[in-house]
Amino acid sequence: MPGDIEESTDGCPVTGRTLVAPPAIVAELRLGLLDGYLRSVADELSAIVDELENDLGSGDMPCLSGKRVRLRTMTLAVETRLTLYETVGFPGQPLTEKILDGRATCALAVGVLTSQRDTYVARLAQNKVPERERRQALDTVRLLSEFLRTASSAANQSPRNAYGC
Amino acid sequence: MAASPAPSPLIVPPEIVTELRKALLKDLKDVSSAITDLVQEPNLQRRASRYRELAVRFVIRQQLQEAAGWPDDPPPDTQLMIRGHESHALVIECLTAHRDAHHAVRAFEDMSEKDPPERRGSVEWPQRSEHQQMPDRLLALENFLAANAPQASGSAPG
Repeated sequence: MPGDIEESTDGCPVTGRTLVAPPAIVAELRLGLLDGYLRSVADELSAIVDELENDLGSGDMPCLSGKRVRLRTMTLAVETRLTLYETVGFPGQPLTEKILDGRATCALAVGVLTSQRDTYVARLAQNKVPERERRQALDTVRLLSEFLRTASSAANQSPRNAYGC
Repeated sequence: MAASPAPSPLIVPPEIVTELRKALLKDLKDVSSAITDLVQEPNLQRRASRYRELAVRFVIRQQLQEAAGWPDDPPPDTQLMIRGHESHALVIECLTAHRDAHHAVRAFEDMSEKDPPERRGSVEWPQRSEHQQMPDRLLALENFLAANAPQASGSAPG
């Protein structure tokens, strides 16, 4: 699938503009968006709101420019998340292959899946997982790692990779 | 189902824009609390649909805040024109909640005058300076809501 690849200016890998997510990856994206990533939104937003309350309650005329910038950045992130969310669908909806379009959406998907994989790995490392669940988790880690490797390679090397641009 | 026609633009005068700036920040706090609570929702489908609602609201709220300004901006000197169903509804909802909060503070202060400080308990006390400026602002808010959202006016106690 031809497309554009953008190189980052800071030397970090940049995800391309299109990713093709097979159904199993779509399922993990749905879970990840509603679990770890939702928690991170809640924590970050809560921190900003606490700081805003302290500033506004201090009595002086506060300067809120820093929080304004953070909130604006966060809103862009929430919008990107919403786009990805609308694309992959809700839990319970039929699972089909999805095309993730746009550089920010692809980068977010890679972030969500990386976080999902790390969560599974951490759970497996605890050695308290029942055997059947353990096997499933191992399969999922393999699947996620393979997808992330291919996506990263597509972004950095070949614009014609099946998963990349 | 056909979409309902767009409402005519909501014109928000400068003195109400000042209140809207604060009301929107209060809404940010409410959305933040709702998202924090949502993390505990065990049903993934309910969590998904509620998160979608909150995320959309969060984005619209931010657009409105950018348009209205922030409490640390210079006082507004122009009116604000709000277009679109969702923005319109959110402005009315935030201002109604803001008006009701003013009423609650007034009721609380009226009660406090009859109640000595040692009997007030651990409830957070409103700042007096806020209250002193309240009547004019409250009247302006009441008039605005009565003109633009008759169903929301007069519902608060006090």
